[in-house]
Amino acid sequence: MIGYACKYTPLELIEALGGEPLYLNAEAEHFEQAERLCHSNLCCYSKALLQNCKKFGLRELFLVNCCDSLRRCYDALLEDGGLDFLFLMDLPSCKTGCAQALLAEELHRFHDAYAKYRQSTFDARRFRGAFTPPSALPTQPFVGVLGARLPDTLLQTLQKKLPYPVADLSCGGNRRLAFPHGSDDAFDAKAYAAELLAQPACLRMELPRETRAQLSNPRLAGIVYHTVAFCDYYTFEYAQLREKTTLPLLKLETDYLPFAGGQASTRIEAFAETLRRGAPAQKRGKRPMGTHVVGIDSGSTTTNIALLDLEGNLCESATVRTGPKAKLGAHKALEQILAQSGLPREALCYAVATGYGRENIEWADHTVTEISCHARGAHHLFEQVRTIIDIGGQDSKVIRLAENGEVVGFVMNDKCAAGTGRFLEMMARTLELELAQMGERGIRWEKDLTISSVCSVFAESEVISLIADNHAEADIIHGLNKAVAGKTAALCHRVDAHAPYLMTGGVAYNPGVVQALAEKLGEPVKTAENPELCGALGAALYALDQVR
Amino acid sequence: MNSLIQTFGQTTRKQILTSPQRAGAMLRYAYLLMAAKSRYAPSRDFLPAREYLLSACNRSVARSLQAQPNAGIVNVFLPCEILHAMGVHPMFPEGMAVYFSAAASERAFIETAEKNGVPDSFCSYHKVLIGAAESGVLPKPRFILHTTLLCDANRLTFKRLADYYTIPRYCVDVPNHAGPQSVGYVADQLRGMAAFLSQHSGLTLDEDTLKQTLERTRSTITLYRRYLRLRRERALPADMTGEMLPLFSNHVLLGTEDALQYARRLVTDMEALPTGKSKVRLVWVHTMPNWQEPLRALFRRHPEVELLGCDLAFSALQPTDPEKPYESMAKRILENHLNGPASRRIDAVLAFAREMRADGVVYFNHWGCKATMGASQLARKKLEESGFPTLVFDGDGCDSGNAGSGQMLTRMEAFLEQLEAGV
Repeated sequence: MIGYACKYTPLELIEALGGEPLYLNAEAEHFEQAERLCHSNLCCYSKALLQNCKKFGLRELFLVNCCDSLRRCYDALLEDGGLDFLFLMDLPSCKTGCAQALLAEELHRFHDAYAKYRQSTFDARRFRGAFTPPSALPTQPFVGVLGARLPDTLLQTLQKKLPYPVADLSCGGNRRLAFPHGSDDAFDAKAYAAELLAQPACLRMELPRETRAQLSNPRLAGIVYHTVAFCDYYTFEYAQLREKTTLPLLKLETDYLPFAGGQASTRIEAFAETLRRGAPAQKRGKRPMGTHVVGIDSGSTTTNIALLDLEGNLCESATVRTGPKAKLGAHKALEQILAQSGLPREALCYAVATGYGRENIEWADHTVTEISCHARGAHHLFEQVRTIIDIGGQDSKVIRLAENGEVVGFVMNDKCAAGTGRFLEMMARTLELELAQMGERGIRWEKDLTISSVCSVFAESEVISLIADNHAEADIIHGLNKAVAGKTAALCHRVDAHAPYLMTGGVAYNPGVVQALAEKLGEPVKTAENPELCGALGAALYALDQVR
Repeated sequence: MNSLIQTFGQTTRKQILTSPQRAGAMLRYAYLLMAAKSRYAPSRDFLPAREYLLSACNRSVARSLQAQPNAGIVNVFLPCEILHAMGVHPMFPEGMAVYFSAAASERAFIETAEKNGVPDSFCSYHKVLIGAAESGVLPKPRFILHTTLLCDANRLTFKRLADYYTIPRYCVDVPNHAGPQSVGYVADQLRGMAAFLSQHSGLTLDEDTLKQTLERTRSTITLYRRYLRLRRERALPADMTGEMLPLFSNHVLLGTEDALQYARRLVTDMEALPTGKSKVRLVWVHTMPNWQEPLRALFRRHPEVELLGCDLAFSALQPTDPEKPYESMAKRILENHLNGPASRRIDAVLAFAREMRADGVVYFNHWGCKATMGASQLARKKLEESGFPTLVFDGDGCDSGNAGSGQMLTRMEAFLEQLEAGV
């Protein structure tokens, strides 16, 4: 088998020479080998490819000089010497006559090298047989996946979780090649090169993209736009697409490591909820009797719970530390709220769980993502709010609402901790302060310091330098608050957020951050009385929908 | 970074957000002032040739910040002789980014770019250019011209800016291999570029003027090679800015009188120096973070250390035939040691290190440059096997928010200690 990565690979020629092409698209368990050979900041797909070459015991590999990362993969593998056959095809960026001639020369070079390696000759019948018609788009409404190639597991997850059929229109899923006329018997490299270059152009090419035509498909119900971490190409197109389309749009970035629940799962489920127009997920059955409902929000730092009566009045709420296990934190929160209200467990007729640990709460009747729950809770508290900024312990998100409280769009931070509660926690530790003290002292600043670094690690050393330079604690905290505000304002911009703003999550307790954010956005930022409760309140309102 | 620059940077950053045209004017006057300083009150710590080119580069960047009737954004490896011959001003993003960092103003541009959806992982030089354009500081150019050489960012930034400004763009596609067919392919594209420039500027290209421009290129390259031979036997203080300047003279400014004058003066200056070597001689691969004052201070504390040059400055010193201008320029792009496999660049660095009798190599992994970072381990292995201790040095060539000086200093200092112990 000969591994390949790019749709411009001459698969038909490989088959005509007796090879068996294998599309390399699996996630890697880790990047140890890849980072040893190259660098940690290489595109994650390339790192997975390097890793999997070893894991799958591949002996043959065909690469295209699609991007800097794949070119360096080739260099590393060539030096490593673990393969029997390795070829890098130089792909022109356009399809003029000269470009076709150059590609034809490359195809001849490959033909000669591979035929020699396999000791085979060109088989015209196999060549013709290798051309397969592309799969047709669904005839009913569908969700299109655009952007960079995506791991098979992610595609399967999307197919499972989204309420419409999913068509893979990403750069890995739209190979379309017609049989080159005139190649009936002998190999006509120039005609074949012309067909390879006539495929839907990827972003690396100097050719028009098909995106506009894809967007005008009347059956397209929504778009998942996929990007790969450290591959810069598709993020650029996403920025443009966002301006052009009014369809529901989800941006997903993955790193070709095992697709673990967490953030991506939250985003996909929230997107599915948007597609279903906010209808909550499937029921797990309903308790016949009861007088109250609960919503529980299991976050990375705290677990919040809200108890409503069947009229929708908030009766009790509680916040506990989540601890190492979401399940135990949730149990503790439930026990506490029952104790506070004096109600027996049987009084609860429905429970909805949300938050990072929502899937681990067995006693909840169903789950709704925190995106929908925050939106619901915020709309309930302040009907006029159009943007929610939620900064929690491990992630920050911005949710844009329509007048009726429906989610219009949302965006979440990437894996990096910059701009989250964790960042502030780390900085508080560096300053040897409690988080609450940091909140109080940050508003009493005098000198406008700027923390340039956006990375938590670099920011920490910058803070240490500022302490060493005898800068006032309050000024340093203000600098940190501005850094968080800057990162958050950038998130707001990505979702076209607008006022009125409501800030939720634990960081909303920090008046310095709220103030810095308001300055950055040029608009006031409101906070709720209990900013951590918004998600749990939304979950409780979803629970109420089920029993009413 | 001294407090005057910091204060200037803070003021400019605020202006960038509120009054971009004023910010552009502030930066322009600052560079003009610096140009005048280098010209009329040059530093005595450096060669007069260095001060001459510094003044020319300051003027070039200042000019890019003022609306011009015929100015085009170009990238570092685009042969600009056609532009010079036609009187078109090249605006050079990598150069401008370095200058914005030197004025402590780059963060505002980077924040603008990231706010507009440019990924964090993207090359900082290109982020600065995008931010400078989209914040309204950079005046609208007439067109954009670029190659695909070395870096993916070229394929993205320039498309985006052409859309942003709604201006025409011309891309020279550079194949990996430098065979005769590739030379023809690139030369044809360069002829197409000349036609594109005529069409969009209304200027005509006089082929004799182009040949004269290429004649200056030939002389500049010949003189620069002579400088390198002299440099082998002479010592200069470590100067990151000085070693970055030939990126202008050997690429974008190649073919101009300024580049030729610089090379001429450089040879004269070097000939006047006594022979003798520094204790530790380093070759630098890729760009240099010359904005990082702590790093500059570190080199000042180690006067026995010398930077022999940055590989981008000598990546394309090919012979030029002015009678075949397009083929000469095509060959210069194709045979640039940054084109093609990583081994080509590593071999060129190795040959340079041997020729210059270097003691070690610093391989600078500029943030976002996958082509450089991806080859870093390969380079380290080959260079060390060949007897050149190599420091793989992660950092950022222009973004002060993306590099921790403390850690970088420790690594550089430890490397210097290692070399000093071994010399």
